[in-house]
Formats: sequence, structure tokens, C-alpha cells
Amino acid sequence: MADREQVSRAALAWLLAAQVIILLPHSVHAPLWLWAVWLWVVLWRWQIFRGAWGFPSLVLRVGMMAVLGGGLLLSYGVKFDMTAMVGLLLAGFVLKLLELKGRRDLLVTIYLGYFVAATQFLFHLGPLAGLYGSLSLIALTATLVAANQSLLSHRFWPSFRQASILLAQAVPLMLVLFLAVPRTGALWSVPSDERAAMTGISNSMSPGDIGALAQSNALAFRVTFDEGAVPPPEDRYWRGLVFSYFDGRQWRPSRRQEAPELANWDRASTAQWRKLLDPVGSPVSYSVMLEPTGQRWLFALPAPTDWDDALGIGHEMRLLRREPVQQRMAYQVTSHTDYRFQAGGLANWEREQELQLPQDFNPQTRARARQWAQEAGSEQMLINRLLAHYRAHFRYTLRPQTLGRNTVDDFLWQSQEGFCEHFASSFVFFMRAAGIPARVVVGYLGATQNPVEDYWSVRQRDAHAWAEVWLRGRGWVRFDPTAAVAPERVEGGLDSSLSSTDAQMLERGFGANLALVQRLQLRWDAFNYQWHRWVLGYDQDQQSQFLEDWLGGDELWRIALAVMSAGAMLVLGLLLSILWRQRPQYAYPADRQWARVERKLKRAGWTRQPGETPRSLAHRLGRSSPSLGRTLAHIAQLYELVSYADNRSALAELRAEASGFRPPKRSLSGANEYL
Amino acid sequence: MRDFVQAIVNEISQVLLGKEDKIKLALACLLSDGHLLIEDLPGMGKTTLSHALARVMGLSYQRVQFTSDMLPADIIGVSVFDRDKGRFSFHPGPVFTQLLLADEINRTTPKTQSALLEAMEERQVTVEGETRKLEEPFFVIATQNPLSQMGTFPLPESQLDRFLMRISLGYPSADAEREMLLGGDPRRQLASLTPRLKPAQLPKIKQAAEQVKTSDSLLDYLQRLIHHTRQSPDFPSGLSPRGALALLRVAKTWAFMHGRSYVIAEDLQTLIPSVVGHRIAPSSAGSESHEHTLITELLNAVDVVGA
Amino acid sequence: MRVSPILKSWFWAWVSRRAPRAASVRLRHKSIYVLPTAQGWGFLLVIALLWVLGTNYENNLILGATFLLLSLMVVSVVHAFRNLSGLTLSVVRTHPAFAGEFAEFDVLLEAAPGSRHDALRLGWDRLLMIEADVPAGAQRSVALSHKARRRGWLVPERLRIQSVYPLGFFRAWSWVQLDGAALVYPAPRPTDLSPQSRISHDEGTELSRENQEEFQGFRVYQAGSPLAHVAWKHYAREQGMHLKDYSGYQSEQVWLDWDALPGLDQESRLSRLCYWAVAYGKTSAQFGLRLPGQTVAQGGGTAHQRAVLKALAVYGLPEATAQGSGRNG
Repeated sequence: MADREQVSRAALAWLLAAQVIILLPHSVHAPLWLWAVWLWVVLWRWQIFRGAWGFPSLVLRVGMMAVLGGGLLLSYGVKFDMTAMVGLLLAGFVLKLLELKGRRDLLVTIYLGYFVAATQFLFHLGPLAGLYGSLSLIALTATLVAANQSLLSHRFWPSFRQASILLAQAVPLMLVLFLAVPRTGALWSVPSDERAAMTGISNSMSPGDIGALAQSNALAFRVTFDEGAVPPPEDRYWRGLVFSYFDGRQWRPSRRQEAPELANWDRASTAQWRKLLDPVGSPVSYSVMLEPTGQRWLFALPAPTDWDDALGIGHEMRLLRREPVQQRMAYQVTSHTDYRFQAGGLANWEREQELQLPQDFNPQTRARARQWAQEAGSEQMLINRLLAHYRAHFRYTLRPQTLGRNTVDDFLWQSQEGFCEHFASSFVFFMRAAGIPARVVVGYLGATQNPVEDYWSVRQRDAHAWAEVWLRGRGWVRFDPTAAVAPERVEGGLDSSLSSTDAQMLERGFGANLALVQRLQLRWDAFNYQWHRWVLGYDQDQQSQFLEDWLGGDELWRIALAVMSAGAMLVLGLLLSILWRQRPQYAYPADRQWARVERKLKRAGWTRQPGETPRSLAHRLGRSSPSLGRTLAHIAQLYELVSYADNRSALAELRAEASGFRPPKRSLSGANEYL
Repeated sequence: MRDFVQAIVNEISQVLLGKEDKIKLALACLLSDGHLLIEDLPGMGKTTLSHALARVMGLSYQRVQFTSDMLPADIIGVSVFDRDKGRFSFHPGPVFTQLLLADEINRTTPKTQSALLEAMEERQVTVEGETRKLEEPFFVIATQNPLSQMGTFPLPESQLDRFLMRISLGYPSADAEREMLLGGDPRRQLASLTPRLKPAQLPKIKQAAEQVKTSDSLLDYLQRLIHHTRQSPDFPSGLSPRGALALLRVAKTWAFMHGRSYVIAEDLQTLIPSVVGHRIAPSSAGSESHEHTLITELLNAVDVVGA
Repeated sequence: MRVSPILKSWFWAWVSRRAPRAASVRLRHKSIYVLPTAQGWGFLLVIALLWVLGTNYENNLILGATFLLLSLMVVSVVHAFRNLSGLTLSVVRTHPAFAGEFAEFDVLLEAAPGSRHDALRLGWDRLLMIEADVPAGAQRSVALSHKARRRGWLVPERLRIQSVYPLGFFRAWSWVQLDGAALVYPAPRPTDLSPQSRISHDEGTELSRENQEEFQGFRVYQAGSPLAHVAWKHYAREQGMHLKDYSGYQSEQVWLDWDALPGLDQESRLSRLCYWAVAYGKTSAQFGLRLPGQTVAQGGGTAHQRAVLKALAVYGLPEATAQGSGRNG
């Protein structure tokens, strides 16, 4: 109809409320001055409403948009990515308020608002974000309801109530759609956002790196073990990175290790090097829900023997991904914690790589290693001697003394206190110096079980570094020199291996000592996990599994059928509830019974005039069907008794008569025409 | 009670043939302690009916033929100076009786009419500053010729309200008329009617009738009817609360007369034309058929059974 | 898009079968139609864009919001239907009008038990839609206008009642045929001379009992003077506005006569008679109407004027169209 229809006050008020609600979560990325713009626009709008100011002219509007665009350019830089796009949308959403003259403008603004409200999920993904997003949708829908209300009713809250009811009723079908509508995967590649810095293990290790991580309580990943087959604590080494290159200060992957083309992306491939893995014993299967790392490597128990399709495997039996993990991702792995790898021998290039040492560093260690190697009868004896050395003289602490240029020399022979990375680094250096191939492995050690839900969480504070040594005939063997110093680090986690002052250093959740708060925290954590696993992590794989379980297949016709029937059921259910609510209300039981009688009469072709009493109806119908007249007269008498004499005992009889009432079909002979 | 009512009706039917329905209505009116207006052409038995009612109910009876030159004093009575006693003494008018037949009430002036109507309402008269109670019980049966002729003063609407019911007798059926023609003037048999009731019994009957139950369901129906008269544009004016109360009062008596302890919807339907008709009918003359249609429409339009 | 006339008439016949003419109509599922609006299609576009966004970023929350909005659309179909369902419409009263003007129909809207009806729009003409809300358990009376083209009984065609409540994505509407007719008087057309034939004075004896005061003459009209005393005849002759000055309130007695307007066709005569019936209705004059085969006795007051106008309105019309309920108020 008329597009220039007035915008009601309630609609405008709701629009402003919705704007506040929608803009709020965008504050994390949008420039703060956008709020100032918003306030200014609201002020202007208020002046328009009062009639004090007019609407801005076209020139002014274009000017404002240009200024705002320039501002956004300054805030975001020239790179046009998703965040900048959202910023532009926000600016449009705010400025549209000044153009709002009629109903159509209002609708455009609301529709734009729906879009902007949805983009907040690009930045916030938690369950609270979901809840908040629902609030945004309710506020926008309330605006829409207010826009469609008549101008006669300009009350504020009814539209909110109506919007909540509508959205609540929409939820069941939404769930079906969410579960059943096929996920197609990205239609085109979108520029990913690399602004967000993520905590976690980086692809190099310098002294103090992991020590810094140990102070973070942030979640690294969660694990659910299939069928409860949880490996013992000493096997919970989550391998992530392997460092084979040492420059004297920093451990890094070698160039070969970093080259993705050397990885194997075909799970079923029979590459030569993969045959060198010889799994022993029984496998353990588990799924990992990895927090975003911004990196391409994944964490798994050694040695992975089966994994998800999209993943690849590197030369050191570590899982890889082509794209950095920018969002929480889930993957399924099967590992054989007991295995032999490359037991037959190393290739020359590999042997060289694992024996590499920088020149001019740690001369004392080099000399001592050569000496000990000569004295030892075997590689194992050498290793045992070094571990005994650690055990005898070393202390585990998060606050080691600072080390000089020759970090390994200083650590091994002077300070003799440190953290896992010091132990791993010195151990590998010593082995290499002694002519034994060795490398540093970085990942996480341990996992804490959530008592509420059946999963294990691994936090940043569980970050760990250890060593792998290649022994003739046995292949790569894991040695954790830290365990020699602080065996409880392996058994009981970080806390148990530290002194009390060290423990205080660790970041702990607020009020961790209070049991209730801790329990709540655990519950919240558990809920978070479920949310991520089932809501955010619901992907094509889970979907096809779900469809298989519930629909018996994921063919399109099954999905279409399911969605259609869900929609039809919803519509039908709502319709029935409406008709039920609008059903005739009988104030008196007798009237209800009589209505039954009348329905039956109607079906048989007899009707009562409104002014006709049951008794006179009986009399009239008795003229064409005496038997019907007699039955009806009896019912009419009962009706009178119940209705007018308040005779309760007659009600039962009336009820019986009404249900047993079988009127004869009205014959259409001419004799009955006067009816 | 039903037998008793039947006995009275049978008794009166001897002099007014084939009019049992109307006799019952008139009886219900009197038993409800209300005044009755009979609207009919001359010679339809109005006088006979009222006279017979008075006899059978054992009431004292007076008949006044209203004329245009009548004065209020002619009905109420007058104080005359009694020379023997040396003071004014009151000569009671015909109103001092138990049943007064006011024949052709529309022939007299509004002044005289209102004197009577006031007496009906107050059940007392005031003459020269002195208030005198009328007899107990006191009924008025007024008759009126529906054809408005020259020199008549039809009762205004506000006055019609004072009559509990209005009936018209109408022509007798062919059979009844035949019987009447054969039997001669029934008026002569009036004297032979036997009283079936004593005036003292009337309060008891009234009391018993008041005990008759009116269920919620029935009151709902009554309210639907009232609502319809007030909301429908067909009705010039809706039924007043007084009219509704009157209907309920007569309905109770009617149910009592039929031996029931509760009022049913049919009672209302039967009584509405007589009780409601003159209260909602438009004032213009010659509208009787219109009024009839209105009542019929009302009864047809309002559902007896609640929804 | 042009629909063939046969299809069109078939469609309307089908609509009429589903909602027959009645004094009081309760909207039921049989007679309520629901179709998406332009806004609804627009919203679908928003949903499609959101789906693309959610799919591309593989963001399940955006997809969830998309599906929620899609289901919201489905739910709103039912609510659009509900907003009309169970509503009862009836014509309570009609107001007569002159041809060429708008006749008013007072339509009573009654809410269905336990439901409210918001932002209803109803009317015969899309440009004359009236908006109304009916709260739960309440009644609302709305005055609808219908163009009165010809004199006689105006029996309106299908009344359209619609709403886009609650979200504007779908329009629910219904066609209702209400039993009610408005009387349309002829369009009044001024004439120089009133088509009257004065009665001789002696015929008025019976009525002029109270009118012993004399007509004294004319005086110039002053604002605020009773319109009943305006000398309309002089005014019509463009002799200025004068007041008839009486020493008492004497009434005039006139007959508006069909035969006093020779040489005009039927409708023109009726229009002129109508004009004078209106003019005399504003005075205290006693006037009557003489039409061929029909006479309205002399009288005064609004009721009488209405009777005269009604006689003019239905004059010469066949019985079928002259029929109407006596609902004119």
C-alpha cells in the first residue's frame, strides 16, 4: 500500500533499542568513534521527531557517508577484508536512521539490521554470543512487529512479547533445518582474518617460550576418547611439532620439515616412509576439538595410524592441515601408542639432519659428550648416565636463572635448574654431540578430565617439550629428561611438580580454591565444550552421520521430505492450537452436550433454528419422524432439568443420551419440505 | 398446583370459550401482582374475562367505563360536606375495590388516566391532602381500543410500562364461536361461576412463586434477549431493567402455575409477547403487526442454547 | 496480467460460495487467503544473503540465525491467518447518503474467543481502507464508507478485510459479503422555484391550533439565528438570506409536488424534490410529498423528512432493488 506511511513511535523506539543491542558486540573490532556517530545520529533523529530539524539533504548524506568511509579507512587500513566490510555495514545501518521517512525506509533498516546482527557471529562464537544474538533477533523482530502494528496502538512491550512468541515458535523448525539442510562448504574462498593473535605453541622454541605458556590457563584442545579407552598418564604426550634444527639459541623445524610437499595428504597412500611405521599393540581412538591456533599443525598421540580425510601426515608422523586453524576444529584420530618407527635405519639426509649442531656453541658440552660416549658401552648406557646426572643435580622451576650465550653449557654444568625446554634442548644437544640422532618434540603433556562431561581438556599450561632419540634396532624412542627431574610432572601435571611459589605464578581461574566456583567453572566448561562440539562443530561429517542415523541416508529427497514434514507439522500444530483456542466455550455442561446432539442432527440433515428450544425442536421433528421426536423429547427434558433446574444427577443421563444419540437420516421426500 | 390452575381456567372457559391461553396469561399477570392491559376491539370478551377473573378469584369487582368528560374524582372519590355531621366525609370512588376494570381507558383525558395510573403504582390515593390506602390486593384490568379514533388519548409509552402485561384476545376459533352461538350469551352464566380462590390465598401463592428457581443458564438466555433488544437497530428502544425484572417475575409465576419449580426458556418465549411487547413497541399507531414482527424476530434471532 | 473474464467470474463465484452473504459473518479457514507480500520476498532475499555468508564462513551460528529467520517466516504465515481467523463482522447500522456522496456502514468487529486482532484494514475501496484493532474479548465498531452512485438501496459488494500483522511478510485477507443496505437519496439539485402547491388555508384548521401568531415579515439573516427560520425560498432565488419573522412559531404547510416540475425527466424531478425536502426539513414547515401513485402526508421533524427522502429514493425502482432491511438509522 502506501509506502510513505508514518513510522510509529514504538517502532522507532524499538529500532533504537535494537541498534544499541546490535552495535554492542561489534565494539570489539569497530572503532569506538562509531558510537559517537550513533549518538549524534540519534540526537538528530530526536530533533527531527520534535520537528526542530529537518532531514539531511542528499549532499549532506553523501558527505557524511564519505567522511565515515574515510574514517573507516583510517581505522581498518586499506585492506578490504571481512572486518572492514562489517564496519561499512555498521556505518550504513547507523546512518540509515537519518533517512528514515516512511515505512519502507524502516523496513530496509530492519532488514539491514538482521544482516548486521548476524555478522556479530563472525567475531563471537561462544554460547553467550548465541544467547546475545537471539536477543538481537528478538529486538529486531519486535521492531518489525511494531512497524506492522496499527498506529492506534503504540505501546512498547506487546511487540516484544509477540516477537518472542514468534521466535520461540520458530525454534523447532529451525533445529530441523539446522540439522538437515545440507552444508555445501564455502562457495568461494573468503579472505581470512589474521588480525587475531592466538596463544599457543609457535613454530620455534627459544628459552622461556614454554615457560610463558605455562602461565596461561587457556584451553588448547579437548579430547574425547572412544569407548573410554584412556591411555595411561605416561602415554599422554600430544605431539605437535618436531624441531630438528638448532642455531645455538633457537630450535626450529628444518627446511625439509617445513616443506608441505613432503607431507603425505592421501590417507591411503603407500609411501615408502610410511611403511617404516610398525604399530604394536592395540590402538586408541579419540576425537580432538582444537582451539584456533593460526597454525597448520595438529596434535595427536604418537603414532597416528588413521585420521580424517582432510588431514595430512608429515615425515615425523605428525598430523598437518593445509590451511591454518583459524576456527575451532574437530578431528578424529586413531593412534598406536606402542610402535616402532624407522627401526631399520635412517636415510643419510635424515641422519645428517638429526645430528646437525651449530659451530662455536657449547664447547664444554661437546667435549663432555664425546668423553662420555667413549666411556659408555652402549647408547643406552650413555643416556642413562645423562639422565642420572639430571636426577642427581637438577631442579625443576619456572623461574630459572638467565643463561648466557652457550645456553646448554650454562644449563648443564652451572645453573642446573630450569624448565622442560631446557631439559629437552640440552638432552638433544648432548645426544647429537655424542653422535646419536635426536630431536626436540614440542606439544602437550597430560590432560585433565572434566568430571561433568566425558572429555579431557588440555590447556596451554600443559605445553611441554621432550626428546626423541634414534636408537639402532629400536627406531625413534621418546625420552623425557624432565621426567628424570620431576617425575610427578608426567604423572600429576604441572602443579604437582612445582614449589608453592612457582605454583602461585601460574595463572589460575578466579577463586579456583572455592569448590562451588570450581564446580560451576567445570560445568560451564563442559557446556562450552558441548556447544563447540555440537553447535559450532556440526559439519558435513557429523551431518551425514546424523542423517544416516535419523533419516536412513543423506539423499536430498530424504532431507526435503524431513524438512517439509517438519514445516507442515509446525504449521498444522499452530493452526490446531489456534482453532482449539477459538473453539466454542460452553459456560454450562448441558449446552456442551446439547451441542453434540445438534452436531449429530446436522450431519443427519436436521437443523435447529436459533430461537427454537430443544423441546420445540423435538416437537417439530417429531412430525416427520415420530421416533426421533420421542428421543429428542427425552433429551430435551433432561436438558431442561440440567440447564434450568440445576439437576446435577440428570447430567450423567444427558451425557449418555447425547453420546448414544443416533438420529435417522433426513429423507428428502417432499413431505418434509416444510422443515 | 397445575390442577388448581386448570380448574380456574376451566371455570372461566365456560364464559370465554376457546381462550384458555389468554386466560392463563391474564391469571399469571394477576398472580404476579400486576396490572393487565387488554387491547382489543369492542365485543371480544374483555369485560367478560375481567369479570370472570374477579368472580373465580373471589375478588370484589368494579367496572368504570371511561369517557372523555371524566374527571380524576370520578375514579378516586370525592370529599363531600356532610351537613348532618358538619364535616367533610369521603365518598370513595370505584378505585376502592379489589379488581377494577377500566374500560376503554384511552377515551378519557391524560389527566384522568394519570390519576388512575398513579393509584395503580402507589396502591394508595391522596385526596385533599389525605392519603388513603387502596384495598389489598388491588388489580386493574384496563382495556383499550387499538384503532385510534377521533378524540382518543392513547396511553403514552411511559404509562404503558405500569402494566405488567398486555394481551389481546382476538377472534375466537370457529369451533368456539359455534359453541358460543349455540349456547347463547355467556355473560349470563357469569353469576353461576364458583370462586376457586380466596383473596387471602394470594400472598401465599405469590410467596411460593418467588421460590421458583431461575438458573444461571436461564438468566444468560434472558440477558442475551435483553442485549439483543438494546443492540439491534431494529428496536427503537431496548428493554429496560424494569421490563426485564417484570418478565422474570411473571415467568416464575408461570412456571409455578405449571407445577414446575424452575423457569425454562419456553416460559420466557411464551410470555415475552405479552410482557415485553408494549414496552419496546414504537409509539406510532397501527404498529401492532410491526411490534409482532419485532418480537418474533427477537425470539428467532437469539439462541436459546448458550454457546 | 489480464485474466480472462470467464476465469474471473468463475473465481468470484468460487469466492462467493465459500463466503455467502450473511448478516453476520465469522471468518473461517475456508474464506481466509494468505499470500506473501513484497516485503516477504525481500525478507527471503535477506535470508538468502545470510545463508551465503554463513556457508562461506562455515559459521554455524550465522546459519542458525538464517534458519531461525526462515522458520520465523513459516510461523508468520500461521499468525497472519490467526489475525483474521474467528473475527466476526456484522453490519450494525447504515447511514443514508445522497447520490454522489459516501454512504456509511457501521460494521461491528467481534474478537474470537481468546484472541486479539491487530492492524486490520477493511473497506470496499482500496483507497478508503479503515484501520482497526480488536482486543481480546472486545468489540469494535468501524464506520466504512461506500461511494453511493445511484439512488435507491445500496447493497455493497464484497468487503475486503486484510492484515499483514504481525511481521508484514504475508498478507491475509478475506472477502465478506455482509447483509446490509444503505438508502441513497437522489442527489439534491437546487431549483429557482420550489415545486410546491400551497394548500388552501382552511384545510389547516385542525393542525393550526397553536399557531395563532402571525407571520410578520422578513428581516435580514444574522449569524446564529435559527436555521429553521431562514427564508430558503428567497435564498434560492438569490435574493439574499432572510429570516422569516413570526410573532410566534407559525408553521408553513406545503406540498412538494411532482407535477409542479413539468418538462423534466424522472431523475431531475426527483433531484429537485430532494433539494426542497432537505431545505424544508431545516425549517419548521409542515411539508408533504406527492408523487405519481404515492403520497407522503404532511408533517415535520427529522423522522418525517426521512420518510419523504426515502420515498424519493426508492421511487419507481423495482421491488427487488427497493427491498432492504429497515436498518437505516
